[in-house]
Amino acid sequence: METNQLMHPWFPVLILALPLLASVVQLFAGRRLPRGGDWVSTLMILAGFVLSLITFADVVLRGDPGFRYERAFNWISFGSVNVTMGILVDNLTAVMLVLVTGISSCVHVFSMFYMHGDRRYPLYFSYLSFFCFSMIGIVISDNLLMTFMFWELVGYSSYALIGFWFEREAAAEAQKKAFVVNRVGDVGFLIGLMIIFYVVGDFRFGRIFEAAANGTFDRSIPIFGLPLVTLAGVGIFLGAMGKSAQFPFHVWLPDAMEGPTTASSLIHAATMVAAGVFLTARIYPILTPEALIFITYVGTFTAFMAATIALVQSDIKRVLAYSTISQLGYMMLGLGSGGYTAGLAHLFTHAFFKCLLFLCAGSVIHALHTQDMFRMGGLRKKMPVTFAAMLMGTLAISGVPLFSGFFSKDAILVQALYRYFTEPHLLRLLPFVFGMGSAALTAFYMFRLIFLTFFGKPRDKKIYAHAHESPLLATAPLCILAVFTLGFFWTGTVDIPVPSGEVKIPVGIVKQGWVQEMIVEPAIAAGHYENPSLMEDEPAHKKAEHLVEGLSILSASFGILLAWLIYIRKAVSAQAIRRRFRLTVLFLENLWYVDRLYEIVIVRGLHRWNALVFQFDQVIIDGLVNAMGCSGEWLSRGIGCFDRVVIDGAVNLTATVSQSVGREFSRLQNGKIQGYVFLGILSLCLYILIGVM
Amino acid sequence: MNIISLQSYLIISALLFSFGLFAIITRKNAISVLLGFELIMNAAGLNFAAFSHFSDSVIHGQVFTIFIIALAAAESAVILALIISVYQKMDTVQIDEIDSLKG
Repeated sequence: METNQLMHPWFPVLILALPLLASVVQLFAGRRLPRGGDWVSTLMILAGFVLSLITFADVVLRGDPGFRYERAFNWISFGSVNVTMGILVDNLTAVMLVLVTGISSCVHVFSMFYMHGDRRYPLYFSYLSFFCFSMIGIVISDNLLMTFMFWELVGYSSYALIGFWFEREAAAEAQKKAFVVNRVGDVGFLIGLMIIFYVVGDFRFGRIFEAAANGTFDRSIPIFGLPLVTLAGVGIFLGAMGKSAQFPFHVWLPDAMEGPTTASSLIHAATMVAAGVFLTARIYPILTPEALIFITYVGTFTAFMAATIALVQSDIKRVLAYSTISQLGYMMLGLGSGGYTAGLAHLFTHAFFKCLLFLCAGSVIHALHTQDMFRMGGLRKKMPVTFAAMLMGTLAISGVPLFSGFFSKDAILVQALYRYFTEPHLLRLLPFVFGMGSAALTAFYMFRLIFLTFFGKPRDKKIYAHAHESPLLATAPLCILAVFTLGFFWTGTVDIPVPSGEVKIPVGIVKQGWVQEMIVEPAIAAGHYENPSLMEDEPAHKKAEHLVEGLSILSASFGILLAWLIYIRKAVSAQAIRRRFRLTVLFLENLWYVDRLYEIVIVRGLHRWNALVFQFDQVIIDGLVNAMGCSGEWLSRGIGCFDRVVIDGAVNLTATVSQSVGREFSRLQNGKIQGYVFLGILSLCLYILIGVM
Repeated sequence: MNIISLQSYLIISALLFSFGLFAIITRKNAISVLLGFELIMNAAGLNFAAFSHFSDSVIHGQVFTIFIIALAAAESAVILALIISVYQKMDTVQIDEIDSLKG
């Protein structure tokens, strides 16, 4: 087979076009189709999934980590600059395509159950398809501009879906918030985009990376002492922070829970938040060590902060929302620490188990009509399938061995620790420490969710009585997704974790799987930014692996045990802990006061500033305008006066004079012939007299 | 032969003219005005005759006078006719009452 050539070059375009087609059909004909046309969207996305699988098999199974397939056409030409549109298919794209279409398919099927009977059922599927279209556009785009365009479309789609029930005030607020917060990040993206276009003159990833590798960026003038390439990288990462809900742009995500649970599931798993991580991975070759450090700390802080907030949430969806933020922080932490593969692996595994968790939550909410975990309980027997699926998702996210989360989260932590080993500095240790801490917290709050929801005695008998297992349409996607929480899909090997020694089973749990082999950092810029810490150091890596394996199993079991002690055994009263750490809990329940801070600094500051500007407008600008107006008025009035008196006076005078003269002279014309004769004679006499004189 | 000088003629003529003019301007009756005209005509005729008599032997002036007398006769006839028709129309020959040409 020819290298760098796809077997079916049109498949990526088709995968992109099918959801768009479905969206348009749904938008215009949805109401007239049987069943509201949900099968159109679902079939289209399923077809896209099949095509993605074929592409995946074609690309990934040939085993070439550096595989790239690029096709582009000229879109706009002005001067010497050509802006192109095109597709780029590499291993990452192939995996993402399967992930996006696969998870979207599950969400589509589940939505048929969850959204059944909604007033705008066809419109919901139209939005859902459009969301998939936008995300697939980002995934297959071969240039930054196209990425940006689809990026904004993703922003729009999320806006539409979060505020799908816009009759509710909170939903309308949440959709606005999501949109505005994302725009703030997008300003960074736009700046990065402009810097890159200014330096490189091309948007194509290939060209940008070439320019980064051959030092085009280094020759351009730095701003604020920072090289342009760092600024560009950080700028684009700001956009990614917006979409991937990194601190300080994370505030939109919990509010986005106002949307339908299925939409949240899609946003949190495959489409929106994944876009940020995907973009960071895409531009990885232009990220300088400084930019990576920035990314690492943003990720670390986000992971830890969100994990702590999730501890005190009582809304089942909000717990999941904060866990998403936390996990996204992990991904960024991984990418920032140089763990390209680790970060992306976590993106893949997280997409599946988070989608699963959300759909399970949707199933529970649909059965109980409440989101408050403290009114649930004991659902284990009533909803066995949902329980089993959610338990698997929880095990995965908590990092329990054999499940996918263990494998990918450990990869990230290994990378963080490895960075510390290669660069022994206390600041380098922080990401690892906080990452490990967050892992324990994650295990705790996820099992808290499970215990509160499915175990114990039902707290609200009335709600419990109505609870029932969801139909096959809902449970089938859950089961499919649950299967993918198993680790071996991602590693390709099943390893049983036991301490080395007696039993001769390999201890290496974080095994080299297909993800590690196929998803590798693009080679193009690897040699350029010489970063000593990224150099291969096999013993250090091994050491990190062993440490992390032990520690992460320990922290996960610690979290789970603690949750069990508090919520099942009631050995420690949750109320007592609450009282003991009153201030901490208050701090966490107020979400680290980030929203409050925004309220005070940005919203109120903006109001204050607006008032100031308004005053300025009122006094200075309006004053100037009014002064101009007044002076004009007075001037006109003066001119008017002059006109009336002088000009009109002259005209009127002429008229009056002629009139009166005429009137006087008309008296002569009295018809008395003798008078005429007399006058005639008189004039003649005068004439003669004058002549004589 | 020349007992009566040219000046005498001219004085008479001027008097005649003046009376005629006075009559034209002051008289209200159209007939009187007509009479004034006749006086002026005659003053003119007298002038012609006198100048002709005192200048040379050619009698052009006298011929003119004859013409003037004839013309005056014809003219009086026409004006009298006009006065009659005006009287028929307006019931008056008072010239100051006939002012329909007034502007």
